[in-house]
Amino acid sequence: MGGLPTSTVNGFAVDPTNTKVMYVAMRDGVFRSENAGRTWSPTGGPANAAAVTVNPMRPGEVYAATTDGAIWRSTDAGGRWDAVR
Amino acid sequence: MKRIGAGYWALLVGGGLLAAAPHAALAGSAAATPAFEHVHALVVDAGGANLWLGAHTGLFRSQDGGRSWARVAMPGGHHHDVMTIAAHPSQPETLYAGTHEAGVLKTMNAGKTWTPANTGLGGVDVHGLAIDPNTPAKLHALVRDRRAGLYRSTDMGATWVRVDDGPPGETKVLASVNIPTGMGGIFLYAGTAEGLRASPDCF
Repeated sequence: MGGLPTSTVNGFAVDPTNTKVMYVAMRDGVFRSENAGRTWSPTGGPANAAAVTVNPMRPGEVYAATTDGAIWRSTDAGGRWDAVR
Repeated sequence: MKRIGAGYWALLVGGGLLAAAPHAALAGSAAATPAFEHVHALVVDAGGANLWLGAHTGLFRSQDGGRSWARVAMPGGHHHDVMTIAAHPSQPETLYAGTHEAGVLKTMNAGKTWTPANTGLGGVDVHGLAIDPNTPAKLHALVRDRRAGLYRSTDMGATWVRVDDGPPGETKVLASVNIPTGMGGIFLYAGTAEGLRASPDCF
């Protein structure tokens, strides 16, 4: 259950094709788990993350929104993130 | 079957309250896109082509991967404070929005029209909405005001019944996850001010 900062979990998303893969959006960024939440790793997604979602048609495509409205996208399941807005 | 309020919300991660993230209004955003102010929710619908964003200033949709956004009109011409969005897992045009002041709103035509879906809900401040990926007629809603708690609908939001107190701490997001509990249900995950929690959904 390690790997996450001690703070509010603002957003949460699951890969619908592999429900062990989860993402959370937090003030410290976007974190990813590959074991249904037991352990987590930072993804390099944006800080002040308010929400995160997985595209069900392309599960490697993950979007995150910051509290102030910036939108980021990863096309490799959180490996690399690019700002789209 | 547990009694109401006896849900077992195991703390997976997190804990402890920290200061909220900044709520700065957007500055210098694209001219065509209104400011969101504080973002609460983001989902991709079942078709994979539309992003939906819930914010303090309303509900917004992007059809170009998040580059530009258009405000979605909601009942009464109000710009509801949209706290949570649940997308139907197989019907791209069916979505639910949980709001701070008007309960649950439902659309079955990709946001052209919305109908209230509040019968049986104990309040109108909805901070979490989860749709069961296996049985999409089943939803859970986390209500914060009046008869606060966790509510369940088994008829696509037509009626709701209170089933649990919900997780400790302010709920930020709720999701049904297709991981079998071994008791006939699946797990309900909640992102809260006190970390990430999960509970079997057989309340």
